[in-house]
Amino acid sequence: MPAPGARTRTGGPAARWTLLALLFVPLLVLLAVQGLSTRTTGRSATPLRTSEGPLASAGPILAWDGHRLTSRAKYPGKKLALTFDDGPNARWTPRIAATLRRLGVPATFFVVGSQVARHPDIVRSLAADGFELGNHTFTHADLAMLPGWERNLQIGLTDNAVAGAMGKRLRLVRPPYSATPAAVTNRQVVPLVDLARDGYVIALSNLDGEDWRRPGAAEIARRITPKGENGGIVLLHDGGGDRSQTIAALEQAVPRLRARGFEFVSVSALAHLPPQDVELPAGDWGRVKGRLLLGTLGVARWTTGALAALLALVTILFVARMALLFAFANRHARTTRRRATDESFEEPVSIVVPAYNEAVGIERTVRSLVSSDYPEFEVIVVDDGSTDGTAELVEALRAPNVLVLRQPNRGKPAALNRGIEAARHAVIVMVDADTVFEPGTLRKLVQPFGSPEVGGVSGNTKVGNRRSLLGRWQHIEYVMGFNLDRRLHDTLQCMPTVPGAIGAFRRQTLLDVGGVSSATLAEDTDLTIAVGRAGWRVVYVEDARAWTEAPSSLRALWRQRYRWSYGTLQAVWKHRAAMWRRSESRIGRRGLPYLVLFQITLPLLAPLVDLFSLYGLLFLQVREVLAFWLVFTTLQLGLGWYAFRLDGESPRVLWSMPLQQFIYRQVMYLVVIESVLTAIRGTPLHWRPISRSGEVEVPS
Amino acid sequence: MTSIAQEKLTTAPVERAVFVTDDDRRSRIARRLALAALAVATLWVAALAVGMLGLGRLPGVSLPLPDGGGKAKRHEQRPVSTPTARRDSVRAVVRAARVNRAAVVRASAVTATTALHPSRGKSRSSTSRTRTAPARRRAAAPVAATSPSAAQPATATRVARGLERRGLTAPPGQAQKAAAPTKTPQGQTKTPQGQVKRTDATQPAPPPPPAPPGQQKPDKPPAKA
Repeated sequence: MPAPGARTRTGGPAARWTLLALLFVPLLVLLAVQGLSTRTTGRSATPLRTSEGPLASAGPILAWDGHRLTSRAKYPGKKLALTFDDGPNARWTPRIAATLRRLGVPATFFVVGSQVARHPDIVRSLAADGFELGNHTFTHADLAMLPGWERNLQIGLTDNAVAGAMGKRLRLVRPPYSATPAAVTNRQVVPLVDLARDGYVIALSNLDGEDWRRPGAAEIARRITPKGENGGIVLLHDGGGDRSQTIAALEQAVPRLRARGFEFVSVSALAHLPPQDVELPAGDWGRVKGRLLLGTLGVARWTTGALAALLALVTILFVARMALLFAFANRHARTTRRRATDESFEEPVSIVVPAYNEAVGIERTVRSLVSSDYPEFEVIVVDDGSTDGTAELVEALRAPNVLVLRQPNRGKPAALNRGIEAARHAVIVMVDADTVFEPGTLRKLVQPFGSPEVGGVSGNTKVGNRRSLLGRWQHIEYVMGFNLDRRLHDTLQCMPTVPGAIGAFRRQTLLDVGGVSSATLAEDTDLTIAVGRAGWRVVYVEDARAWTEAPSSLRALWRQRYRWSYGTLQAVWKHRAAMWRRSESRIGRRGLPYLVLFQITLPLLAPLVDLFSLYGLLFLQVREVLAFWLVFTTLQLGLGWYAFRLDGESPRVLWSMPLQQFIYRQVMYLVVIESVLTAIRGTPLHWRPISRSGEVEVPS
Repeated sequence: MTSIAQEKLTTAPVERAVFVTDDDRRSRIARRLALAALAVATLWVAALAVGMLGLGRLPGVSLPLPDGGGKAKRHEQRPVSTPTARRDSVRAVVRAARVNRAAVVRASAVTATTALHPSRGKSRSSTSRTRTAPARRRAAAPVAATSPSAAQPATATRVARGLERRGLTAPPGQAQKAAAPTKTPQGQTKTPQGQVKRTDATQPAPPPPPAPPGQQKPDKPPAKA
């Protein structure tokens, strides 16, 4: 039913989606960069020692001498080079550095590039303190498991990060997961050869403290103490976990080793390389590139952090909504059972049916209405300029108490207002032309008007075409929406929507609010909020059932939900003043915030769930992501089962609920995003009719 | 049943739709904001791409020998056995050993000149590159290959070790001994291939030929400093 005065929309949806995609893609790239740059950081492991490895007889320092790999420092004498892997770490690296400074011990820190990007200040501080730095790959990756290009990337990115942080290039490299030369396997030696040929000096170790296992300070001190008179390179860690034992071990071991005559040197000194040969100037362009890398990674990190915070908000909203729904639905079910209904209320009722090209289902609708077991009522069908003979079909029924009003096409609000004008009775029921009433529905729907404070009543809309998957999904959504959300709203006396499919109002109430407004596309929500603001109570009657035809295609569903979503936005905006008025606090401070939080904000943030699910599957522990998803789905299923139980429906259809996570949920949030974009741009949106099949099955 | 046709609208005048504007000012602003966001995103991607560009190759470096000499010094620079040697056929091993022997001589020259000409380190000089390229290819490819066959070429390795113990680079009769270096008028040593090697007084002596893995005598730690 086109809205009156509707203008042509400017800008097609394709352009909008392209824009959205263009904004979405960088976000995906950003998350991917963040994921790739942090996925394996900080894991430590000590490979098994083997006497048959290719470097079993080599010293711990390796370099390319022009045509082959050569090693050094197998017997360095009483010299020890302390090295620390996996940093910089915000907590432990400064503490370890302070301990080393206090003990007067030089050391070499093999830094992980992604950590350098996170803590460039610590790297600068280490360099300023005279500590030596080495490359430990960008994400603590096992170089032996990577193709050549990725190995180069791992080393190169760390080079850039260090260049950005301190303006130097590092020659020393220690590949993760390689401790002593004896532990290097044939597979691992390949990247070592490549690195050495590229000019890097590889520093393995002879004494592995295995502090990452946290065996105790004394044990670490024992492990890093040479058994004989030969020192070498000591492997410890400053990142990847609690390093308090490492610090304690240093305190114990350093004085003891000094007492035994050991001298502490840097790795470069052990290799007889001048310091300027292991930390080379990066050059201006190198610094620029490094800073660009640090800056962009910083942006990725902060954006991901912000998105993660929003995801936490989504989680909180989701869980809070579930808890609220369960608590209030439960309370509503208990109070309703106790609530005495005024079955003597039999005031005459006017039923208004606005119709625009509803030839497919109008006969069935009118027949079901006239079959109602209610003593006195009239049916007013307002034909809003139909071109498919809707009015003629109704007239051909020759049903008693049925009035057909014809008018040029003016839109649904105008048709409703026309019907309200023509209505002769004090209670007006509004019914969509594709909706079928049960015989007892009308009686149950109007009974609450026996209470003078009730200005509006919402019935329970059921999906009549639920054979397809899309129909089942909507059936689940309707059952949950009507049996959870509306019960909550009824309990809190803040009903924001009496559905257009089945709703009733006092005539006086409608006059109070000036009839049905055409300012929004969700005229039912707009009207209900207005009724609530006028001080009337709006209640929900779960037994007053009406069967409606849900959209049977994704395109139709999109159109319907787009209108609902945009209309809800309009209604909330139109009535926003209610939030600040004490006299309208029930709807203003309960109903409207509920709509804003759970029908606008939550769907707007919902894409984050998909984004982070993908992110988690790619870069985090798959098991954790699946567990998270399983918990959410189970909660939803549990709540769905409860709603079905309250509605007296068979919960068997809930098997299709987990499948809602794909396609259906995306449609639901995309229409909200599209609605918000439309609202921001201010382009007019008109009502676009949805094709009907007339397939509505009403159980006898 | 009654039917009434009415051409005139009896309800209140049409209200102005919420959010709808008469001009496209908001639309323009929204479009500009989106484009600005897009531009920022593009800049970020571009900056990331530039930031990820490599810093180029490191100047080559050789591990210098420590001061002093003797046994300890010999132990200091140890050729590393890679799966290459164990995988190669007898002929390949012999050929590699021959090239290695010649390369050791050149490597010492490279080491000595690194401080003066850093770019010449890491076999960047044309002569070094030319001479060592085949050996490097032979060395690199098998290393990158699989290791399960490491046990197979034991015979080849033994043959190579035997040859080396005898001071040969190839089996008798097949040996093409490297021509003896000849002195140039400038006091430099000329290698048979036309390489020029500095023979400064400060130049360290060329290291001894690499001992085959597992064949060297048990190393002793260097004497106390």
